[in-house]
Amino acid sequence: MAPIRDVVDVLIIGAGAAGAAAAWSLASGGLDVVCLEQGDWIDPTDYPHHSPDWELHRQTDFAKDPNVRQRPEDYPLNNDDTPIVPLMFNAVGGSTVHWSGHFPRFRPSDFRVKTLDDVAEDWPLTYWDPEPYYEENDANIGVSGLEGDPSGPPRLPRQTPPLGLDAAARAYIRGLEKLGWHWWPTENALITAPFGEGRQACNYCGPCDMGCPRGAMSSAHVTYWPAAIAKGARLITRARVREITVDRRGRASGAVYYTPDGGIAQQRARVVIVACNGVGTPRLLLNSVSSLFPHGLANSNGLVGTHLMFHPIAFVSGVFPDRVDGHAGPVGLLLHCHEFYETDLSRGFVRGIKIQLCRESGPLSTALGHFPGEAVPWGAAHHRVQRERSAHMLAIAIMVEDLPESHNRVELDPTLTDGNRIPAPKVSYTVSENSRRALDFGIARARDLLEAAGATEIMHQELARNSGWHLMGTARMGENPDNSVVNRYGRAHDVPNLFIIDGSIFVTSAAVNPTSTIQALALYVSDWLKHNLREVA
Amino acid sequence: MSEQHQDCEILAAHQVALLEAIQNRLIPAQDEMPGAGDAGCAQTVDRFLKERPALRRPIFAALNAVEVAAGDRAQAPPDDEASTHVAFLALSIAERDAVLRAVEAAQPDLFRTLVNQTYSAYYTNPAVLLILGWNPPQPEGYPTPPPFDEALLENVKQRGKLWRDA
Repeated sequence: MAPIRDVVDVLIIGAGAAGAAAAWSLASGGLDVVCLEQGDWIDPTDYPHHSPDWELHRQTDFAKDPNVRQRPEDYPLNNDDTPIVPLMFNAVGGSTVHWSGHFPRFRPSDFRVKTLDDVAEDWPLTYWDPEPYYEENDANIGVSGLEGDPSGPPRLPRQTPPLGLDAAARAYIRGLEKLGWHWWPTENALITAPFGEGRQACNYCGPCDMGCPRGAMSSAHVTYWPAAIAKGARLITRARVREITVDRRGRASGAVYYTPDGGIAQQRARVVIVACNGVGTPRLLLNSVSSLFPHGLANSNGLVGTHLMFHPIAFVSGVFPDRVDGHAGPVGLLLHCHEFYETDLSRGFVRGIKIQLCRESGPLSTALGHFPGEAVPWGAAHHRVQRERSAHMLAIAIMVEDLPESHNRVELDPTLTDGNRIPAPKVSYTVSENSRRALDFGIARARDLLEAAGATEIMHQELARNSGWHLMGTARMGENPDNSVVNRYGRAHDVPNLFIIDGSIFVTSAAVNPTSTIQALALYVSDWLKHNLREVA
Repeated sequence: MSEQHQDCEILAAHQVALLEAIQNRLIPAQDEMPGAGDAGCAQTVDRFLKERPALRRPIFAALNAVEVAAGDRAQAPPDDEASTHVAFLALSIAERDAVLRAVEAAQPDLFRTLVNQTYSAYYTNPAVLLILGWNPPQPEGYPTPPPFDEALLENVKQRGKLWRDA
C-alpha cells in the first residue's frame, strides 16, 4: 500500500453502501481518497450458512440489532423510546453485508410530496437528477429484475434476469391476478447469472439477511470496494472516528479516530464526506463539538438528528395447504405490488404503501413465528402445527411511507457509550397516525391477497419492532439553510467542505427500500464534487 | 451447595433435570420426533447461557417460577431429599402442563424466553434436523426454478402507467 499523504483530497467516514460508491467514483476520477471504517472485512468463511445451527446466528453474531449482536465494532443504542429498533451492520460494506437486497427506485412523485400532496417538503432535486446515477449504479453492482414495470419510469435492461418462477411466486400470482392488482418481479441487488469477478450467481439458499457467502448479493464489499481499491482508494478498517475536526475558519480539516489498540490517530483531508447513515451520521456530527460549533457540526439550526424516518413495517403471513417452499429462495425477494403506492385520500391516509411479497425461512424461524409474530404453540399440538407451517408459509411485508416529524430524532445519550467511550445515540420515535392508518390499510390488503392466493390461515403483526433497516432524514437536504442541513449536493450549509451522502440526507422516505437511492445520490454528489473540487477544497 | 451437572457449566444438576422435564412438555416426543429434553436441549441451553449471560436471569427466574408453582401442587419432599428434590418431577403429565400454563399466564415474558430458547436448541439440533430433512442453506442451496415467464405480466402491462409525473 502506498503511504497515505498527510492531507488527502477526500476523507470518507463509513464504508457502507454510500461510502463505497463514493470511494469508487472519486478514486476513479483521480482523487486521493481515504476511508475510515469502524468495522472490518467479513471473512466469507464466517457466514453461518454451512452450519446446522445457522438460524441461531440470527440471535447472536449475525443478529441485525447491534444491541443483540454486540460485536466489538458495534456501538450500543438507547432504544427505550422507540417502538422500532434501528438495525445496522458495522463492517466493510455496512448494512449491505446482510440485507434483503430489495432494490427499487424512488418514483418521481416521491421527490415532490409537498407540491403533489401538500405534506412534508419537496426535495431540492427531482427524480431526473439522480436518474442517470441509478443506471450507473445498477450497471456497477449488478441488479436482477425485469425492465418495463408500469409502476415506475422506464429503465435500461437489468444486468441479470429476474428470479425464477417457483411455487411461492405462483401462489402469489394466483391471488394478484384474481384481484387484478399490479405486480412485478422485484428488482434485486443480487445476481441470478454470472456477473462481476469472483462472484457466483444465487443458488436460492435463502437467508440473505445473514449475508451471502457466494457473493451473489451485490453488497458493497464485493462490488464497489474491490473496484475502488483497484483505483487507488485506501480503506482503513477498525478505525472508529471520534470526531470531525475543524480549522480556525470553520472548515472541516479531517477526523480523529481510534485505532484497534485504543490509540488515537488523525487523518487530515481537504474534503470530508460522512457516510454513516441515519443514526451514525447525526451521532458523529453531534459528537463533533468545538468552539465554532458548540452544538455539533453543521448543526447551527439544531436540525441534525431530527426528522428521523424509518419505514414502519407490518408482516402478514399465510399458511397454504400445499407446499410453497418459502425457505427456498432469497427471503425478501420475489414480487412487489405497487397497486396502492400513489396517494388516494379515500384510503384514509396520504402517500402510499408498498406490498413486498416475501418468503419464509427455516424451521426455527417458523417455530418462533419470526414473520407472523405468532410462535408455533408448545405442548401436544406443537409438531402438528410446525408441520402445517413449515415450507407451507409465506410472508408479506407492508412498508409505508414515513413522513418526517421533528420530534422523531437521534440524540446523544447522556451516559451510554461505546467501547471507546464515545457517547452513543438515543433514539426517540413514535409511529404517526398517518403511518398507522397506512399500516392498517396494508394489513387488510395483504389479508385479501393471501386469501385470494389460497392461504387457509392468516396471521399478522401490526408493527414489527425489529424492522428499523431504513434510517433516514436526520441531516436532510434543502435549499433553505434554515430548515435543512445540506444542499442538493449533500454539501453542509454550515461547513463548505463537509458532505453527507447517506440516508440521513433524505427529505422524505418514499415507501420503498432506500439503498438504491442512497447509492445513486452518492454517485451524483461525487460526480459534482469531482467537477467542483477546486472551489470546494 | 448445588451439584453441578456433568455436561453443563452453568446449570446445576437439579436445574438440568427440571429443564429437561419442562422441555419434554414444551416439545413432547411424538412419532419419530424426540422430546426436546430427551434430545439434549437442556445442555444446549446451558451453552446459550454460557455464551450469552444476559439470558441467565430470565431462564433462572423462569425455572424458579415453574418449580415454585409445582411445589404448591406437590407434596412436601422427605427431609433428606430436600436439597436435590425437583417438585415438578413429582407431578403427573397433566399436572406439569397445568403448572406450565399457569406460569405462562402469570409471567408471559419469562416463559416466552424459556420456550424460545428451547425452540432454538431443538431446531438447530443436527439429529432433529436430520429427521425433519433440513440441510444447511449452503453449499447446495435449493434447485433453481424455471425462468420467469413474462407472458404472465400481460394483464399488468395492459393496465398501463401507474406512476405520477412530477
